[in-house]
Parts: sequence; C-alpha cells; structure tokens
Amino acid sequence: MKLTKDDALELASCFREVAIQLGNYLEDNWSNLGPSQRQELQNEEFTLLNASSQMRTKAVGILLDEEEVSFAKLQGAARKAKTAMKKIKKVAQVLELAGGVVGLAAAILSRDLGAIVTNAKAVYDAASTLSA
Amino acid sequence: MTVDVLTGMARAIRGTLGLVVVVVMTGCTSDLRAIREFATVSAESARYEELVDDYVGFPQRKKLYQGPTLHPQLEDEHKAREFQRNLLLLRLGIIREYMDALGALAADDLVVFDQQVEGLTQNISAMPGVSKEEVETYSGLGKALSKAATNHWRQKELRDLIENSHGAFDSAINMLKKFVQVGPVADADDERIVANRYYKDAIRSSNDSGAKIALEEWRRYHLAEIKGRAISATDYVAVLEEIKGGHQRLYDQRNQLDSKALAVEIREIAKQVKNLYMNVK
Repeated sequence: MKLTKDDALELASCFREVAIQLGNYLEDNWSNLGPSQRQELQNEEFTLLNASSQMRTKAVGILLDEEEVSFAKLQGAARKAKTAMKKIKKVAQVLELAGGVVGLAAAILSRDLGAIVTNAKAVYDAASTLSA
Repeated sequence: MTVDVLTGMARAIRGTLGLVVVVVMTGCTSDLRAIREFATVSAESARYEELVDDYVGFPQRKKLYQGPTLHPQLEDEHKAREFQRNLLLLRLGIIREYMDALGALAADDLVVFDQQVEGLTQNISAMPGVSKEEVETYSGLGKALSKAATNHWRQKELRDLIENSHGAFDSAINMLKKFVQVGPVADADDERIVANRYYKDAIRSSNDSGAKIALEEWRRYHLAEIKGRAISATDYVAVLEEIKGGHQRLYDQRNQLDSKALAVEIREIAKQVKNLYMNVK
C-alpha cells in the first residue's frame, strides 16, 4: 500500500505522542530509575522522535511530488511573460516605424484636432493589434 | 477675419490641445507601481534559503544531543532531506521567477520612448513660431500617447498572467506553507524536546555544581536559539500567507489592475510582506 502525505503525517504525530509520553514518564520517575533504565528510556524517546521526524520528511517528499504540476505551470507562465516582455520592445519598434508619434506631431503642428485624434487612435491601434 | 478673431482661435486651439494633453495624461496614468513593489518584495521573500538549510541540517543538529547508537537513523534522515534540498530551492526559485516576471510587466520603464520623443521635440523646435512651452507640451503629448498605447498592452498581459497562473500560484504557496509547518516549525518543536531532555538529564546526573551551572547556561542558550528558529519559521508562514492574499486581490481585480483603490491595497500588502520578512531575517 502506498503511503500518502496524510498517512505519513498521522504516523509522525503518533510516534511523537508516544515519545512525549515516554519523556513524561522518565521525568516523573527519574529518582526511581537506575542509570541504565534512564538511558534506555531516553534512547527510546529519541528514537521515536526521530521516527516521527522521518515520517515528516516523507510527507515533505510526497508534497513535493504532488505539487510538481503547479510549479511547472507557474514556471511556464513566468517564461511566457518574459517572452511577452520581448514582444513589447517590438511594439515600441512598430510605433517608431509606423511613425505614429511623428504623424501625431505633424497633426499637432498643423493644429488639426481631427488629425490628432486619428493619429492618436492609430498609435493606440498599432499597439493593440500587436498585443492581440 | 480680424486679428482679434485669429488670436482668439489660436487661443482656443491651444486651450483644446492643452485639454487633450490633460485627458491623455490622465488616461494613461495607470499606477502599476504598487504591483511592481508587491512583486519585488515577494520575489525577495522567496530568497529565504536559510529555511531550507535549517530543514536539511536538522538531523545533523540532533547528533549533538543523541548518542552514537542513534546516529545511523539520523544519517538516513539527513540523506533523505539532502535529496530534497534542490527540489525545495527550485520551488522557491520558481516563485521568485514568477514574481520577477509579474514585476517586470508592471514596470514603468519597460518601454522608454525618449528616443521617439526626442525626435519629435527636435522637429517641433525647428518649426517657426512655436514657443518653448508648446514644444514641451507637444513632446509630453507624444510621450503620453505612446505610454497609453503600451499601458493598455501591459495591463492585458498582466491580467492574462495573473488569471492563468492564479490556481497554480495558490497551490504552490500552499505547498510551501505546508512544508514550513511540517518541516522547520515541527523540527523546532522536536529539537526543543530533545535539547531540553539532554540538558536536564545531564544536569540531574552530574554531581559537579560548576558543571550543573554551565550546563544550565547551555540549555538556556540552545533553547533560545531553537525558539528563534521556530519564530522565524512561523513568521515565514505569515509572509507566505500575505503574498497569497496579495495575489488573490490581483486576481479578484484583474480587470481593473490600474485602479487607485487596488494600488493602495496592494501597496499596503507589499509593506506588510516587507515588515514580516524583516522579522523573519
């Protein structure tokens, strides 16, 4: 049977709970226990805590596998955005080549409000067409 | 037509042009700087690689408190965590890469129109009868219109990026949050138990009063260190939560990314992320 993330976390929690109980027992009965018994109980407490932590490590491993798709999608989106940023340079070039700004300047200089609006729209459309 | 009428017309045209400039400038003042700030601090927060180091180093730290018979168990765990190191760093790196892309798309200086505007300014300056003020006004108009065109494009790209990535971003942040809780936060809890047990038992077993005092000092020192790590890890969960909330707001308002209300809200979230992350470090 394959271990799930939740299984691993539940096992981690169980091991930890028992370790804590062992630790409490050791604490409460310190004076009644001999050195070897104390050492043995301490080792068992630590072994269980280590087992708990190993289960958490497994849960992290499962978590990493489960979320691989989300991260791959996010990375793909980030890279697509970078490509888009290169495209915006193209928008700037087209603006320049189309002479949108220069056409606008001519319209402004001729004091032709209609031409200003037309040229402004042309600049806007040039960018919008490229972004479509 | 009399000179007065011509002068009046000229004034009217200039007034209208001034109005056009104001309208265009207002229309293109899309404040995406807040989004950029948010993306920058979020990308910076995803540089918290010490968290991964702490996680990977936990089994080795426990060796200090546990006898050699338990070291093979700790070695196994360390190997498993060492294997996960690059996978975790890669995931933090992807969050950073995504936030960098988001921030770059929201950057005001993405396209600089200085060259085009310079040419425009020179052309206008060469015309007879055009005042210095008019040259400045017309140059401003050209720049403003160019920016308006690309701002429209930028917002569309930003909206698409946020819309298409929101689900994956949410899952990715949730994964990192879960990792911090299951890894570093829980590690600190366990390390506190192990260190406390080790020092308490050593103090009780010792017959040397000087050694007891020294051990107690070490106990306190190590517990304080562990507590610091626990607080940092818990605070980092709050950082991730804040980043997630910020992205959620961008997603909710993706069709109004240039709204002033959103800018205020996102700027506040960016500030919060920055403050929380300063606590972590």
